[in-house]
Amino acid sequence: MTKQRWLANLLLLVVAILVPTIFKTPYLVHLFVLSGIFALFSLAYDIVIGMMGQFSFGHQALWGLGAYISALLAVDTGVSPWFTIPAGAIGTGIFGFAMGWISLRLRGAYLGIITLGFAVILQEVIINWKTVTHGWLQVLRIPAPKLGDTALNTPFSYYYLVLAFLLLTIYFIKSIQRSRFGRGLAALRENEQRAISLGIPIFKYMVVAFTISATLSGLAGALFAHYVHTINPNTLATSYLWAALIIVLVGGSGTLGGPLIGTLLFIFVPEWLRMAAALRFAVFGILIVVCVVFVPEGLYPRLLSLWNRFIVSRVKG
Amino acid sequence: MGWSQLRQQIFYGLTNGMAYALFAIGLSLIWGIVGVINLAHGELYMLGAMLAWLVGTTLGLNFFGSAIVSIVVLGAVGILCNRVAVQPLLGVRNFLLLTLLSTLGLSMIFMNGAIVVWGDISREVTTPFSEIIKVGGIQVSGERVVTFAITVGAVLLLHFFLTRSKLGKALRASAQSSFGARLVGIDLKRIYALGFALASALAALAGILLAPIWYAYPHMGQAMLIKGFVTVILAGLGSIFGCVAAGLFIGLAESLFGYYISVYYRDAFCFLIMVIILLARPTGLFQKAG
Repeated sequence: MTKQRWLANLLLLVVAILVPTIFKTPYLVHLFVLSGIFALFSLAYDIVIGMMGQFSFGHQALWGLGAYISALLAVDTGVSPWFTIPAGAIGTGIFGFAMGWISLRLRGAYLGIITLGFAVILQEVIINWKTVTHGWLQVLRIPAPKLGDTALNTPFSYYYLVLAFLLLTIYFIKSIQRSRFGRGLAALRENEQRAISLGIPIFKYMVVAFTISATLSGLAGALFAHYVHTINPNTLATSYLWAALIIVLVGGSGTLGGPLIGTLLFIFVPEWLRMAAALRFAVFGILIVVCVVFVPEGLYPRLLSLWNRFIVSRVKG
Repeated sequence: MGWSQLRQQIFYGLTNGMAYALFAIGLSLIWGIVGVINLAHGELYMLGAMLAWLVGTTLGLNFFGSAIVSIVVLGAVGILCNRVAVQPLLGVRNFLLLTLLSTLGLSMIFMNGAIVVWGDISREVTTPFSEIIKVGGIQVSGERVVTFAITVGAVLLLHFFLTRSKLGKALRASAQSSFGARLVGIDLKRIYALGFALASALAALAGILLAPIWYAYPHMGQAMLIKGFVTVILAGLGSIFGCVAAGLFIGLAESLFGYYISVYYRDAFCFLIMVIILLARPTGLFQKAG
């Protein structure tokens, strides 16, 4: 990493820590909390899309499952959220392992559709298994985690919880990318046949990566549940999948900065579009099409190349 | 639970299934020819139904007149979709994912646009053949019979178009190998535009035929899209009669399972079948080898 990149990252970290003091209104901080949670989810999704080069249309189920496991444990057995949130992540990881182990025999769109199948089945089970999941009656009054005696139930306090998990995740993914395993995944993404010929156990690698992605998605879902305090079967709706897809591809898949930039845009642009009133989401759709067509590689890679062209070359020149 | 109930469920299953097939054929065409999973297909289907309703109520045309207007308009909308969201991405890395996103954008535009313009409510599309008659102890609605018949006609017409006409052969050639098609002088851009026009017109036809049975409303495309995916995957890409068989199968399985076993787990059951079939035969049931 160049010195400039390192400084830029440090600056970003400081800004991220200072967000609640810079933006003092609870609503703005609330949007940053949501950004953090969705960034975590999108980073998890991008492990499958960007690092592994495979499809999944089933990640909304993993997000929802994490939310449900953690919320139900906390509400119906009274266990502290500090235990239920990891339990949600791990439980989702186990489900994701089974899902990946079954699905990853397929490729391309077929892989996408079979994972979508898992999501639809899981959602119907959650709708109908009322004695456990409450069905459409929703899971209400999901408690916020407590630090000592204070519950982290304001955007300001929850922001740091999410930020901590987000930073850990970024560090974790970064170290995967640098590891032998991560390089194996990159080889597999670029050319599957060649990766096999190099002796990379691709099926094993893919299942492990999918399981990691599922665990992190479950974590994001659990953090979401304990923040919004109410979940229902729509927490497994495809809209969350589309959210992750928009964030990852608009930001730039296969990078760490992409999902982060993508999330901020995904959360803040619709807010800004409130002036378009009812047409808000139609305008958002137009922006997505424009963005994909004009910046197909994603905003983050485009910004990086602009940065290199104008700033770095000027400093050197 | 007599035999007449069984026959009634089979009738519902077959007519619903034919509708799924009609919807799925368009999805399959674009997927096969252009290589795009068109997430806006459900919204094209919705627009077809809403336009038929609009033309019928404002211009006072009869059912067939408004159907034709709607199909023609939607064909043009399909070409526009291709021009805006697919053609600029041709040849770009990650084409499948990027077009997935750009068509998702289109679907957001259409659905939310429809909600703003027409409101988030159901509209009734009236037909001249809405009466219900009793045949062999089961209730047969004229709308369902007409839907079934028109779909069969449309599928046969499409089949002959694709196998007999020069243009249809060019479409199939492009689906088999875009490189080979270019070599023999096929203009791929025009073929893709044609594919989109055809698929959108078929989606519109499906919407128009189903609106009298299930109403027309801005969200109608969402549930249908998922059914369409299952149908296309079961059929195997690019197989028209495969789509018909898969659609009928899903329609039947759904109505029988829903009636006799559990209406709550109906969709889960469909997807379970799909998962099993995908694992056993990853290229679908009706895909020819090679």
